[in-house]
Amino acid sequence: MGSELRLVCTGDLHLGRSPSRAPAEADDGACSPRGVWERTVDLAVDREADAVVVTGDIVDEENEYIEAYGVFEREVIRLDDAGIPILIVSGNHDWDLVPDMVDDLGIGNVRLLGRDGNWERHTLDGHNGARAHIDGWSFPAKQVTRSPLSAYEFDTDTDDPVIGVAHIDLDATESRYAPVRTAELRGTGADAWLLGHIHVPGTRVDSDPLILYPGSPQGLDPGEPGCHGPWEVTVDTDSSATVTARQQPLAKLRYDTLSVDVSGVDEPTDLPALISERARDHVQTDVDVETVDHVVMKLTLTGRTSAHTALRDYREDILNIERREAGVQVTIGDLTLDTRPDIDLENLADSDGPAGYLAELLLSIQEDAVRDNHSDLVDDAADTLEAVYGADAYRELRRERDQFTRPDEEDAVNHLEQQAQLVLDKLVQQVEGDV
Amino acid sequence: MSNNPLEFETLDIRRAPGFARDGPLLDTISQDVTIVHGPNGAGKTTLAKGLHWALWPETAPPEARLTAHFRANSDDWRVDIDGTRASFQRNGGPANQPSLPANEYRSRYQLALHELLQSDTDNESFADRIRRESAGGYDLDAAGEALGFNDTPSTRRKGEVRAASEALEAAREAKSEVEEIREDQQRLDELRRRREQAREDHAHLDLVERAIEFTQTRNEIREYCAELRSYPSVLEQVDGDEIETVERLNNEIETWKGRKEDAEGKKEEATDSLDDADLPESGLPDGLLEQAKTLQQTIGSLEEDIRRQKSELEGVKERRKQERTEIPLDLEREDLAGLNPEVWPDVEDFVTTAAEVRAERQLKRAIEERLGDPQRPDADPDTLDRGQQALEQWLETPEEGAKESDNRLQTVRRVALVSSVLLVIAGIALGALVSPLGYGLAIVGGILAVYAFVQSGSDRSEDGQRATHRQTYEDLVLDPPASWEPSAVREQLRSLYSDEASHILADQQEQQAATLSPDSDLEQKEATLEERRTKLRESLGAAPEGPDVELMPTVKGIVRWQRAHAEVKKYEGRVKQLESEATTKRQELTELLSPYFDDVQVTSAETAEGHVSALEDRQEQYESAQEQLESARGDIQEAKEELNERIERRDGVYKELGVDPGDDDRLRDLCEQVDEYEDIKADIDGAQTRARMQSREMAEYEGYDPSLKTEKLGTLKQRAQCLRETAEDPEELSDQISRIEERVQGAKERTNVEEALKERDAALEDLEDLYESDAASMVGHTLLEHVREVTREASRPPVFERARELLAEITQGRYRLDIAEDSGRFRAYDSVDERGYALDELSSGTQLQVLLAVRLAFVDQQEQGVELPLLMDETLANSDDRRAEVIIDAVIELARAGRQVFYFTAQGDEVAKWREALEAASEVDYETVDLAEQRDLEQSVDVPSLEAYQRGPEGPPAPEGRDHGAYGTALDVPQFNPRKGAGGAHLWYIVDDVELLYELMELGVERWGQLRTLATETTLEAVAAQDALNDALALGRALETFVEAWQVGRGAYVDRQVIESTDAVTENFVDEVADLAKELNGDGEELVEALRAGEVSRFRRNKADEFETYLTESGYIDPVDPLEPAEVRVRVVNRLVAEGVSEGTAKQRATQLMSRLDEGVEAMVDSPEAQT
Repeated sequence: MGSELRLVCTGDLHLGRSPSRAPAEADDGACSPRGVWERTVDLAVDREADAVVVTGDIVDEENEYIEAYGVFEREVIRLDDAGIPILIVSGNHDWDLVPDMVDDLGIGNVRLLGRDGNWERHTLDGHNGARAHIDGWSFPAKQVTRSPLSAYEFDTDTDDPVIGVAHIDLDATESRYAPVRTAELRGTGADAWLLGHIHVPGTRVDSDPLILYPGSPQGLDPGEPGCHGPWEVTVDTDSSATVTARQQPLAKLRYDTLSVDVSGVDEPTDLPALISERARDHVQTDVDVETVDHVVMKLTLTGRTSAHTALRDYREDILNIERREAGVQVTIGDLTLDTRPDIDLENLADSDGPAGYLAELLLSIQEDAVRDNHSDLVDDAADTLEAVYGADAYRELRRERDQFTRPDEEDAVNHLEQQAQLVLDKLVQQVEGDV
Repeated sequence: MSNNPLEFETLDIRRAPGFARDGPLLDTISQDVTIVHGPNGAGKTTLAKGLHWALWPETAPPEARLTAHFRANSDDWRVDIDGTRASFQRNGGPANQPSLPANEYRSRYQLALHELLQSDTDNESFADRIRRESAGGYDLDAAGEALGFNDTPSTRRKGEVRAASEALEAAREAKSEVEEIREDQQRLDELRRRREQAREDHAHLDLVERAIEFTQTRNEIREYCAELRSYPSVLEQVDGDEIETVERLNNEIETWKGRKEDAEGKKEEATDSLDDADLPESGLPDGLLEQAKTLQQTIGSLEEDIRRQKSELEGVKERRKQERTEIPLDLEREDLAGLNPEVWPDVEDFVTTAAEVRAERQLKRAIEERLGDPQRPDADPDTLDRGQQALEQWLETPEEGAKESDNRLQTVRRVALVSSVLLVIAGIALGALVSPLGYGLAIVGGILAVYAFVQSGSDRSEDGQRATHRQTYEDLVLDPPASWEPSAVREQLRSLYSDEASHILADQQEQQAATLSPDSDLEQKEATLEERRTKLRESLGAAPEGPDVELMPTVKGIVRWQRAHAEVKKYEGRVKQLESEATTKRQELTELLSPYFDDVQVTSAETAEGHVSALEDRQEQYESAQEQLESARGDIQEAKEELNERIERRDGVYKELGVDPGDDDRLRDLCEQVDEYEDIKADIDGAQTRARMQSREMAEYEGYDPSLKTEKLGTLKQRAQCLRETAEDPEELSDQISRIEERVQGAKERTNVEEALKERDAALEDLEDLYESDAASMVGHTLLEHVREVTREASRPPVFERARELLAEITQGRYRLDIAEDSGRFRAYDSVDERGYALDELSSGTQLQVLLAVRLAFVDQQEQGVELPLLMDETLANSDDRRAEVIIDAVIELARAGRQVFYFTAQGDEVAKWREALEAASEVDYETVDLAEQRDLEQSVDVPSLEAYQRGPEGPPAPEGRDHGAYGTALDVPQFNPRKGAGGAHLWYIVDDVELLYELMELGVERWGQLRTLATETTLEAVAAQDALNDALALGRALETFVEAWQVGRGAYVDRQVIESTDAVTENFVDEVADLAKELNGDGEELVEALRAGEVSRFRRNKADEFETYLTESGYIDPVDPLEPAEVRVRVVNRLVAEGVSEGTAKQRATQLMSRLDEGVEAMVDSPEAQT
């Protein structure tokens, strides 16, 4: 074998958190960040990696406690026993915890790079004589609004490859989490950049330099779909410092989105079979059944159906649909009913009375003229949403959920559209029922 | 409203349930109003049903038989019903059933009292219809209900909300716990530092405590020394037992004195005893007594020997005498004695020798006889031996069949060995049984056996040349074997063995014969014996004849006699000698004893013993006294010495301690002090030892400073106390550290926070779902409200408007028809109480009025096609006269408009009411059918005549020229309670025109609420003074403004209904709280305070708080301050202006209104009892 360095890279572990909306069967630790971290270490030991690189946010700030980093410590000790160094940078979640944790561990093989936001170079000597410089930067505070690259001053014009490691928000100039532009990374002359902060894994740039977000090795909610796991990064030090990365799909629980068009389905009872069939197709085509045990679907039903309103009553039934395909358990973690009633709005809008009004309202919404035609209603709906939002019952949501934001006019219009569809569907059914 | 009435002309019921034949008949039917009266059972209901059976034959029972005629659309119709078969004729010709509303709607035309009150389903269907028609045929409420729309968000009591709160709390607790652990962990370094400090502090405290102990010890030593100096110095020499020593010595001195005296007494006794012994001063000479005793014993022995010898002598003499008798010789004693005694041994020897010779001779003869001459072979033994060897070697030499011959040789040798052994056994047997010569044979056999054995071993060795061995043999010149064949050789070898044995046997015989005496010797012995025999006979002389053997007894007898004789002589001489010795000894003893006895003569052993014994006694006495004397002297001397020694020691004690001799008190005093003295010294020693040890211990402490030893005790104690107060317990700190480390380790191995966060996230997701559900539900509700609002006015059905109008008219404005949005049922709003009621909350009369109004409205407004007759069955019941009149008027209006009306009743006054109204009404025809008369019944309905019919109670008093104030007094206008709202205000407050007031009251309109309803729902065209009415209406609305303003800061009236509508007051307390509320004029604030004050016993304070919250939220308690009267007035004025009254007039009227209200209001506020 030529002279090359083998790194195992991961980040955004968020130890201490659990995947949301996971089925009860996945509640065994294997589907948690803990489990995937243990398997990542297994991987590094099996492959006799030259180092494990962690790109920050090891511990979730919500659970930056002993419980969460206990498992990190245990596995770090295992890496140390195997003689594999661990190179860490801290992220915005664990900027204050990681330095203490590393100090408490007191293991020479564990290196926190770029402490207090000061770039630090560590020269890594591999098993077979390969060598590379690892330039790291750690979060010095909870928020960093300026690019840390402005202080990067290492010489990259060396014979050995240079790998940058940092927890940054790429191409998000307004970000409070170390915003960096891709051009800045290119300008450093480093051969590769291993980054943290974005949970969705993937290479942003394939080469010159390679820019990789290893992402969370375990997706934590339906917003992090697809394949997750650590990456094996190979640095070819013989030639022109070629850096390649390959993901290892070690996450046992996977989130996916699935959109099912239910047009023509008039009976909600026909839905489970249809959804189940689509789920099967998805698993067979998109899921690595060798490594994944659970798939949690974010399901969206679309299309025009006479069962538009009836679907609401079957919401729980749909959420309870479960399928086992090739050893993979598929469950519905989230359901969006984006169907429309099977009604001719244009015709109906010409009539008087509630149905005509609702049809006209829906057309106005579709034509984005609702504010012009129904400003009072929009205001009332916004007030209503405001009232719901401000209800005492949702105090904890307001307090605990950052994404639980005050509803705006768009939310009001969306709700109006959904409810207008439902009401109209009901009214039409009333008349048809009379007939 | 259609203009196509259907009018019955006749109805003839021939059969019907309850009427087997000749049923009731209607043959005089008005096209407008027909009053049918008769007692119960007369057929009123059957007639009413029959009218419907005629229109909807499918509803007729099978037994029904009837014929009816009616007009519709200008056609004459006849219908015949015969059970299930119905036939129609139009204008005389058969026709199909006329087109009529479906039979489901027939109940609209049947206004039977009992059905109106019972048919809830119909009522609801009416309400439902109204609501749906209000929405253009759509049921928005149903849609909203089906979609779960709601106008209020979920509360904190909702499961998801609770679950989220609990999960959050659990997560916070879990976080808090690990946060606590983390804080503890962060304390670890500090705790470890404190533990080190604590250990140092404790070590230093230990050192200071050692220093304190050392200082205390040092102080003790000083105190002991001071105490020691207070004792006399002589105590240093005092052992403490001196007084005891002196006392003991004194006792011993006394003892020795006594012993000395005893010894002196013994000395005196010994002296006396010496005198008694009467012996020389030196006592008997040494050995004298032993000499005397020897002599005495000798004398005794001699005398005993003499007696024994004499006795022996006599015995010997007797034996001699006996022996003499055995001697066959006749000889004298002297002769016998003279015989030569020396011969006797010879005789004895001769006899013995003769026996031996004779035996020898006999033996020799026997041997000679048995052995004969020995036979020897020719060859000498040596040659034989060599020949044997040659032959044996020949045989051993292997040649052909060597093995066989070897075997044979072995056999031969075995034979030889056996033969030799047999020879030995034979020889032994012969020797033992026959002759010792046999032993010789045994010896030969043994030799042979040994040889044979040796050969048997050697034969297994080497071999040689047979020729050589043969030649060797042949060279020996022995007899050759018969042939040089092995068998022959072996035979020859056996012969050689035999010859050799013969040689050995002959040797043995010759050897045996050689041991025997030679014949010459034996003969010599025999000759010598004969010679001796001769000599002996000669010497004996008298020797008897006979064989030699017989000499012996004689000779032995002589010898025995001579021996006895000699013994006699010997004893006789011995006795004589002994007696002589005895005499001598007696003499010696007498001489020896004579110096010590006055007269002494020893004559026998007995006397000798007496004298010697006496002397011995005297000597013993002498010696004893002498010894006692010596002992006494020694004792005396010893006592003296001991006495002196003790006196000297005792005096030495006194002298040594400087105490006057005999001053025992002083001595005792010193001795008693010495223990204490020594104790103090020991204490000093102990303390000094301790101090040294403590000093060494202190020196071992790290950081020891020798100056500590010189610190003052107080200073040291202060330092120790200070350290004790400030030093922490290192063990406790270690425990803390261990506990924290354990908790940290435990926390690292669990996932409590993660689990709690997961639960929290799941709960928040559920809560978000709930939020989405709430948002959808509430936005949906808002949307529905909006749709309803937008479409309401345009689509409110006329039937509803008509029903409202009718109800307002029937109830003189008291009630307004509503439909509950939630339940979809009819409700009635009481304009006086200003409160809505469900039907079942109304009195049955009011309930009937509401439903009748609805039915009439439907009949009036909802009919399509032909107008069907209205059938009323005692519908006026429960209505007072005025309301009955309104209903009748309403129905007459329907009839006037063309609808045929039937009224069935068993009440005569109802008939009278109808007649009165119908008589007054123009353009309305009517008929009255008396079923009792028609059917000739005994019982009939008593119908008062018009003249006799009296309407109900008197109306209000007429003004009769009274002004407003006086008329109010005449009316006894009740005081106004603004807390209860404006609706209940008497019209007197707002109607200035007393005539109008009277007119309205005549119409049954007495309260503002009624007038307001009528003004809203009807035209009030009947009222003459419209201007005055408008003024009153404006003032009424101003009154409402006054009430609203007055209630600011006061709240609405709290009555039983309010109390019952909250969970804060449980059923058990409703009565009491309602009574209390009434007492407090419905003042919510005061009511809550009273509850808190315990005016309703056992009513809990937290419930009072809950009640207060409810009242506040519901507007029964207004937390703001009440408005000033001027502010109230301004609002009233403004309202009047808004009603179109000029400002000036408005101010005037406002002042007027408020002055009317003022007194009543104030009075009411101050005195709740004054309220109506």
